[in-house]
Amino acid sequence: MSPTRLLIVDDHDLMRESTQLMLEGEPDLEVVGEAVNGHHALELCRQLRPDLVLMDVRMPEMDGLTATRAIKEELPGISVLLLSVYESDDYRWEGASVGAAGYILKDASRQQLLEAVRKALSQSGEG
Amino acid sequence: MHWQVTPYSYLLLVAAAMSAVLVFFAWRRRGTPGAETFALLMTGVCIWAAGYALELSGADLPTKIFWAKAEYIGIATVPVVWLAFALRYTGREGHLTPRNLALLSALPLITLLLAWTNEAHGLVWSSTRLSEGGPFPALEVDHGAWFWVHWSYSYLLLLVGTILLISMLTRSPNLYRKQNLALLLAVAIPWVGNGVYVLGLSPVPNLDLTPFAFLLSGMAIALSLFGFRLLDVVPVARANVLEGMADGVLVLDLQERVIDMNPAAERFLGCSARKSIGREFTGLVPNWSGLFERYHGQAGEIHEEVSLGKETERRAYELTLSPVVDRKGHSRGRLILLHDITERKRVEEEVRQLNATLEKRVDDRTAQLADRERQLEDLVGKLMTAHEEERRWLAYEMHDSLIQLVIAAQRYIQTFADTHPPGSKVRHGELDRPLELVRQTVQEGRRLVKGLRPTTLDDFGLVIAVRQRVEELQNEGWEISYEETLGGERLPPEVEITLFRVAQEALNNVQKHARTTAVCVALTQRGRRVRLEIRDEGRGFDPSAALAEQGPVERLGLSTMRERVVLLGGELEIRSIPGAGTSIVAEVPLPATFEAGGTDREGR
Repeated sequence: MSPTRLLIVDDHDLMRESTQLMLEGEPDLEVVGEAVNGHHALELCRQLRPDLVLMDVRMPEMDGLTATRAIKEELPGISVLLLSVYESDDYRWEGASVGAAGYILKDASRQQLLEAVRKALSQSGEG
Repeated sequence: MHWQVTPYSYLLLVAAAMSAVLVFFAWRRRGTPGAETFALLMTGVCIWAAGYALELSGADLPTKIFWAKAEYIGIATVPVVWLAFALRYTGREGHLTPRNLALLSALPLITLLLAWTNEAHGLVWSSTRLSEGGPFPALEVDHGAWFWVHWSYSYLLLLVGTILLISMLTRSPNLYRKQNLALLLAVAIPWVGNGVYVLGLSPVPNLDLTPFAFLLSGMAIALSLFGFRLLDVVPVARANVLEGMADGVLVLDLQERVIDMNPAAERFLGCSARKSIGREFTGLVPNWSGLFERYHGQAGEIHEEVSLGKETERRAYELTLSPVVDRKGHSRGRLILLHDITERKRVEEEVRQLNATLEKRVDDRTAQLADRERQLEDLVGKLMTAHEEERRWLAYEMHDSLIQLVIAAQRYIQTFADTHPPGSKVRHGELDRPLELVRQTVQEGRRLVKGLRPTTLDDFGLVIAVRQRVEELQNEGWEISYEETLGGERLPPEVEITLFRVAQEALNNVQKHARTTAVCVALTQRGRRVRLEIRDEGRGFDPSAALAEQGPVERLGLSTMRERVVLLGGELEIRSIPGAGTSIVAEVPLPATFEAGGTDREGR
C-alpha cells in the first residue's frame, strides 16, 4: 500500500517547515509538495494530485477558504484539512461549507494533528 | 380861527376816529394780503373826514377854506389808494410797480398843489363864499376847470377798482360768501353815497356824504378782510405757538383749499403762505392727491407717513389729518399736521442695518462653528479609523511574526518531546532550532514595541529618538544625514510625539516607495516654531495623485500626520516632483504656556 500523498500550503516558511517536521516518522504519510498561497496550491493539486491538502486559512493573493472551494469544485477527490491560528467556530463552519474535511489549530499537538489527518482521509475514503 | 361846531362835525369826527381805529386794526394784521394798502386807504378817509369835520365847524370863510384844503390830502389820495387796494386784493400786485404808482399819483399831486395855491389861479375853486341858508354855515364853491379833471380821474379810478373787485367776487367760491357779501357792500357804498349826493337826495343839503360812504365801505372791507377768517378767532398766544411750531400746520376748507398755514408748513412744502392760501391743497402737493380720496368720508384722525423733496433732500413726515369742527359740530374743513420724522427714520434705518450686520455676523460665526464642528467630526472619524488601522496593523504583525514564531518553536519542542521518551539520549544541537526561534520571538517583540511607542522618545526626547532611528537606518546602509539645532532642549510631549510620527511615517514612505537611501533629516527651531524636514532624492510622486491612488493605510499615514500637525496649530507641506525627490516639512508652534528648558530631562 503506497503512502498517502500530502500537500502543505502556507505563506510562512516556518510553518511549512515545522508542519513537515511533525509529519516526519510516519511511513504512511508522504509530503509531495509545498505551496505558498491559494493559487499556487490549486496549481500543484492539478499537477501532483495529492490525497490531502494541509491548507493555511489566511494567505495573501488567494486565501485558504477560496482555494479549498476551487479545489473541491475542480478536483473533488482531494481532501482538504484547514490549519489556522484562530480558534473560531465561524471559520469551522465556513470551512465545512466550502468542503473542507476538517479544521485544526496550528498549535495543536503532533498527536492531534495526525489524528485530524487520518480522520480527514478516512472521511474521504468513506465518501 | 372861529368855530361853530355842528352835530355833523361830531358825526364826521366819529367817522375819522373809526377810520383811525381801522388803520390801527389793519396795521396789526398787515400780514394779510391788502391789509397795508387798506390801512393807507383808511388813513386817507380819516384825513378826509377829520378835515371835513373841521371845515364844517369853521365859523368863517378863511377857516373853512383852510380845512377844505387840508381835506384835499384825503380827497386826492383815496381814489389812488382804492385802486391800489383793489389791485392787491385781487392778486394783481404785479401792476403796482413804483413807476405805475408814480404815474397814478401824478394827477392827485397836481390837484393837491392846485388846491393849496387856488388863490393864485382859481382852477379848483373859481369862487368861494359862506352860505348861511342851511342848518349850518357851509362853504359854497364854484368849481374850477381842474376840479372836473380831478373829479373825472377820481371816478375813473374808483370805477376801475370796483370792477376789479366785482369781477373777483363773481369768481370766488362759496365758502367766502359772507366775506364776499361784505366786500360787495364795501364796493357799492361809495357809489350809493355818490348817487345820493349827485341826485340831490342827501338828507342834509350841502353835506358831502362821501367820507361817510368810504367809512362804511372801510368797515365792510375790514369785516371782509379780518372778520370771517377762521384763525383770527384764535387768541394771539395760540397764533404765536402755531407760528413758532416746528411741525407744519395747514388748515383746509371743505373744498380742500388752503385757508392758513404756518411757517414750518411753508418750509416743508416749499411755497409761501401768501401764494398758497386760497389754492387747492392737492395743487400744492400733487403727489398727495390720492390722500383725500383714500380717506374720503372717514371720521376721526388719520395718520400716514409721507415724503417731500427730491432725492438727497427728501424728507419724511408723519401726516395727521383731522377734521375741523365748529361749535355746532359742523365740519368746517380739515387740519393737516406735518411732523418731520426724517431723523427718526434715519436712526431706525441705522438700527435696522446694525441689526442686519449683527445677524450676519452671528450667521457667519455660526457657520464657522458648524464648519469647525464638521472638521472636528471628520478628524475624530479619521483618528478612529487610524486607531483601527493601527490595531489591524498590530494584529497582522502579531499573526505574521510573533504567533508564527511561537507556534514553530512549540512544534519543534513538542516533536522533540515526542521523539525523546524519558531516559533517552539527547544529541548535541538538537534544541538549537527551537532556541533560535524563541530568540527571534523576543527580538520580534522588541521591534513591535518600538514601533508602537519608542521608549527613547519618552525617556530622552525627540532629538535622541530621531537620531536613534537615523542611526538604525545608517546601520542598514542608508546615506542619511541628520541636522538638529535643538540641543538638549525638550519640547512639550504632544509636539515631540507628533513630529516623531511625521519623521517615522516619512522615513517609512522613503523605505517603501522612494527607491533611494539618500535622505536628509533636519530638526530646527526658529523663534517659537519647530521645523522638521525629511528630504530624499528618490523617484518622487505626484502628491495629489498619491493621496488618491495609495492604499488606505498609506493615505491614512499622510493625511493623519497632517491632521495631527494642524491640531497643534501647525502646517504640513508635502512637495514632490516625479523624478526629483520628495520633501516633507512640518512646522509646529510651541504653545504659549511652554517655557524653554521648563522640563528637566534628568528628572524623568
